Amino acid sequence: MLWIYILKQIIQRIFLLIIISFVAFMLLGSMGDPLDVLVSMNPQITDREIDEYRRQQGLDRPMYIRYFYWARDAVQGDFGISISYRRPAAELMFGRIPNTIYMQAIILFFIITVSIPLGIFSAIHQYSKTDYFLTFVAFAGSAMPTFWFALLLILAFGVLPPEGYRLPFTGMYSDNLTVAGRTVAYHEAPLYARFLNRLQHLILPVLSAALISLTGLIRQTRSAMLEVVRQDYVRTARAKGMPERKIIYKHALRNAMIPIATILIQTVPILFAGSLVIEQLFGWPGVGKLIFDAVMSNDYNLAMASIIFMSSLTVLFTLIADISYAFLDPRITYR
Amino acid sequence: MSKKRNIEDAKDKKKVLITESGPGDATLKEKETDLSEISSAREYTFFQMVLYRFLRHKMAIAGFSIVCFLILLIIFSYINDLFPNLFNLPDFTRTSITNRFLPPLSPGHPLGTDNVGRDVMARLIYGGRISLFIGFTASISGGLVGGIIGAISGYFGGWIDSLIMRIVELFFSVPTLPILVIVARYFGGSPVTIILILVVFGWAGTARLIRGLVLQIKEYEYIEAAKAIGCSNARIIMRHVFPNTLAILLVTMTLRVGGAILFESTLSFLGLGVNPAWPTWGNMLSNAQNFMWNAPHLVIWPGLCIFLSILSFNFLGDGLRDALDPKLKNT
Repeated sequence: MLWIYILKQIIQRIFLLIIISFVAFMLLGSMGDPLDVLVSMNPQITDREIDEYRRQQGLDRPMYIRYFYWARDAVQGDFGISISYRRPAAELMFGRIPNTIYMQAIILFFIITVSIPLGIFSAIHQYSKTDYFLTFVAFAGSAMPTFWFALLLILAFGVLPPEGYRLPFTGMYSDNLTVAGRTVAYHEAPLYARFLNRLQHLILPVLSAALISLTGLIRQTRSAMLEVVRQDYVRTARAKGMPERKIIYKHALRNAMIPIATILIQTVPILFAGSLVIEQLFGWPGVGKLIFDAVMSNDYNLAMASIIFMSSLTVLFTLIADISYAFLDPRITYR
Repeated sequence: MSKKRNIEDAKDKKKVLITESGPGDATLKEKETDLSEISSAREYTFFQMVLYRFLRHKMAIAGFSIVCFLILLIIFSYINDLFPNLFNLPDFTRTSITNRFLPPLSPGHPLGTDNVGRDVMARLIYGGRISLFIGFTASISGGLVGGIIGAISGYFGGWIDSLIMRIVELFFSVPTLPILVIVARYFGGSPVTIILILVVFGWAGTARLIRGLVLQIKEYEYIEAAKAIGCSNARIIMRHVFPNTLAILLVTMTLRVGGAILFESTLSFLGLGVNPAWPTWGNMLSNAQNFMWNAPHLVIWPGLCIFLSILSFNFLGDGLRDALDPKLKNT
């Protein structure tokens, strides 16, 4: 039964991706002539040349037909040529993917290591001062706009401190590093200096991107733990005289991990969507910034490629979240 | 803390009402008080009880006051439009070369001025007008659309239900922000298009919630009774089903105002929202970002407005939910 459910879900998600790509293609394609940029860069271009180029690129055909041609190529991994970069869109996108994953993986790691212990603590010490404080922080965090929090962090750690104590907030690393009093180019700097520099560049984006999911996860870990602690088997364990530590970590936590794991998987696509704002703000050369730049410059091949990538990732992770429920909790049956 | 004790206490209803609401308590408490509410309902009307519970919710009162203050500011801005000389508020479009980047508490400009010398306070007040207008209309219309679709889906069931639920599921796995960027860029930045975008991407959650509720209500005896005496479907929906979903609908709408304000400001911040000629909190922040070295205070105010308004709508929504129906606390 489970396999039929999974198969149904997969088919449904593929259908969704087709719809998304079609809508995105129609909207992007009618947003402005992609040739405008080319024409403005070549004032001497003649109308005949423009028509020729149009026919050559297949731009003279109706939109829905162009969609089918695009889809045929896209399935084979060919997303066309980026008009602003003059290079294959797929190649540009794949160059950016590691940067995004690099940041997102660290954000996820940070969220897991901070929020789960805090949530457990909050649940064990329910109604304590720390619990109230964390509840307050969670409430504030849920109302905090990511970009404002990021700007405040930039202000507090990147702008206001005196020179030399500031944290960097643009890009992945500095072009020039100061090692032992002299300035060297990044690629010639020793490994530890490069590592340190990259770490510094990560602090502000990771903190600001993690905030919302972090506070949400603290609350959810807390309520998952409280739910489990109420169960009969925990009472039985207590009645047997088992030490409290063992009850919490062996009996309660393992069962509470089921909902927590599902929520964690669900936060991954939310984080990826957030990368649009974070990468734009911190000048991070990832897919999120690529989507934004491509849409803004009417570079629709590139925009399509990166949006399809981002959508597939979101759809994939929501699918995994749905399925993992069934795998992690044998009590759930699917039709 | 057992059920038994609460039933005994229920005779003394005042005591029960006091014990049942504490800030930040989890599922444990409200389930115990279900019974006490039934017994105390005889002596208090529904609205008295709702009001009583709402007034005891400190955070809700705080949220409510901030929301009232924001609404007063909007009214103030309209009065200022009618009688420009009444309050001596600087024109929010008026630029000045000599008064650029004034710090807060400057004479005539209590919150300072921005990069072209426009008064920050006036811009915040007028920006709030558009942000809150978008927040309110988007959440109310999204709530109504979602509510109606959800009610239809839950009440009729069958293929209509499964079709609507498939669509809802699709909307749940849509990567909202990347799609929003294209849609917002395509349809341009007028408040109406932003509201439409928010409704289109926001109805699904409400629809699913209301559908679940309607499925529950459908099973109650009074619906069966209404069917037995020959009420039409429309009458049953309007008289019996719809009023019972109102409480939850009101709560979700309130909670969604904050979300709508957040999305609008995110879009405006990215330069895809409301046209920059008209100030909104989002595009003021977007502008402030470029002048962080000269005027850090410009970053503080608009963000604080967004943050406080979202926070207060969240608190208000939570308070309303607990007051209208304590059983719903974790929905």
